[in-house]
Amino acid sequence: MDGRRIVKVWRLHHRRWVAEKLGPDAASRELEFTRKILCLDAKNYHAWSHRQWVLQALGGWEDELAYCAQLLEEDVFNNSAWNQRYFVITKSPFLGGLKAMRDSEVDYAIEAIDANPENESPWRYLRGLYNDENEAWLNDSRVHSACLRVLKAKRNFKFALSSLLDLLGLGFKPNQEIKDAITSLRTSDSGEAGSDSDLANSVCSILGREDPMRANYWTWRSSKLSPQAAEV
Amino acid sequence: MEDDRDRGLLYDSDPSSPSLSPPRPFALTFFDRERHVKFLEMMYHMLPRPYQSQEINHLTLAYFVISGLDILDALDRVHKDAVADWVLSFQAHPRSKADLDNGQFYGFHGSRSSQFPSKDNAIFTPNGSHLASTYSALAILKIVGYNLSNIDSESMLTSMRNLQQSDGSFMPIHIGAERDLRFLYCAAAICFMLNNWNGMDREKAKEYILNCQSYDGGFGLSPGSESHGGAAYCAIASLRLMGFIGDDCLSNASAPSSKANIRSLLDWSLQRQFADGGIQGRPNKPSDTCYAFWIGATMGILGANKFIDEIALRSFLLTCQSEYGGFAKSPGVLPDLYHSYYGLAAFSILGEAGLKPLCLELGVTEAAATGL
Repeated sequence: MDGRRIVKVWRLHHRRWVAEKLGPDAASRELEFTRKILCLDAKNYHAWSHRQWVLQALGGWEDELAYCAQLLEEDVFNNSAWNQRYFVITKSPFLGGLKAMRDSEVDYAIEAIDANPENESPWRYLRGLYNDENEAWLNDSRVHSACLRVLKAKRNFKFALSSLLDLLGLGFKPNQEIKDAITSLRTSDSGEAGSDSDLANSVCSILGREDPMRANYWTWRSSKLSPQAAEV
Repeated sequence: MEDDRDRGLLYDSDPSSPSLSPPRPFALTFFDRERHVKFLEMMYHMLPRPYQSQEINHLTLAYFVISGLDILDALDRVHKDAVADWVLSFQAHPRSKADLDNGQFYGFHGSRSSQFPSKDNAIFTPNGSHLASTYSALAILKIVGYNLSNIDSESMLTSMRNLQQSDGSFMPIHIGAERDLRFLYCAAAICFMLNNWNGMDREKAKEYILNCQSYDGGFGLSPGSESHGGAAYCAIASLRLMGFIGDDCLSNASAPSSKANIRSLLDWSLQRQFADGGIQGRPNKPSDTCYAFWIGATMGILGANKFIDEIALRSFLLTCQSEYGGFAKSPGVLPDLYHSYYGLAAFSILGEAGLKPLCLELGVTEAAATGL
């Protein structure tokens, strides 16, 4: 909405109108066009929307996953590229869909998390890979192992903690190592973490300290805890 | 430190540079209502002369000015009847009832060039009225107290149905190729203001909204698109206007009536507040004044604005306040009308003294929304 828009939106609409008339041949040209824009502005919202429209209406999926990987190599914090990756793995006719891709994508996301645990994008992506399949998410040991690694490093652990909080809310039973890691992050001396709901409360109070901007939210989350609280 | 009544300005001049160099960017420690009134008054007197923008249409700019002055409780600066007449002059009228079957939308044009297109740009210039300008028109009319029952709403609403697609989304104009949540929001607000839901299929619209919720809990402007603060507002405000979200949203975070995952939207939205106190539109992007409204209003509709750090947000917004009046998107940048309006709206949500409260889902003051 500011004066320095790179892409005049009405031109994209016109391109879409023309491309629709030309059919699938227009796919590679339209993809090249958006690639040029994204080279200058890798998060340009309208360029990404147009690119998604091209893929769905005209095709050209073959190189899209590689394109996402390239963008994420250039900037692993590029949330648009993470979003596009999710779009590709769920919708590309060449990749078999979310369930087929999940295993390798979990590894990919966790690699990014290990490198930069403060990066919100791979955390959201990881959670999104499981969608509403809560049991599968709970039972994938790679997920809580990743949380544990980040907690033990004692740096940039707010997303690790909030992931654990979500897991606990769904009935996750943490092992002793995780309990100890959480305990060691507590500063108050309110005794050992007993039941899992004490643990969840501990997590909330640590989050209130580590993520003070959202202190009221973490207090509210604490008030919403119950032994088998469903998140949704 | 400073008393709010003290109009002292802080100039942070660099001690190492020569005395002739200009002082650093302006920084006020308080919300300067007078300055914003003057800024908007100046903009008001510049209407209808164009503000050289191809992205934002004329009526929308007028909406920023008029609604902004209303929020500032300075509507006395506006000649209400003249504004109403001016807005009404943009209305598109069918020549006969038969016209309503020609697929076109009979709402409001956004500008004179849209209303009277030159033959040079007949292909590229939107030919016909536009949902965004129609929203803006009706909002302005409500603000200045014009009685909307004087409008031919039947034609408008009947023809608006032509803009709704089979997936529930809306095109903004009858020859447009794009469709996304912004135009769905405009349609819902139009029906709400006219108190007549014949203009759209609410169930289908709700379906489209739900399809816009992303894997990360946020909403994109279209299904599959990246989660974005503006889209979150369009989604939640539309659901609220259409009657799918009640006041008890938070306690009923998984209310079956909406089927949107409110809990994950909440978590996503609250993480948008950045270390500098400002609010970003998407993860890993810089804070921007306007998201203080898009995200702030969304949280307000859900009853969750107590979860935003309001002190930190207010501090950030003050750094975006311009010495010319209005707000910029970020500190040290020149102000523009769009960020000025949403900055003012954000201060209203923050409860700034002297500002009128908002009807969050409609984008006008409560007083304008209820017609008092």
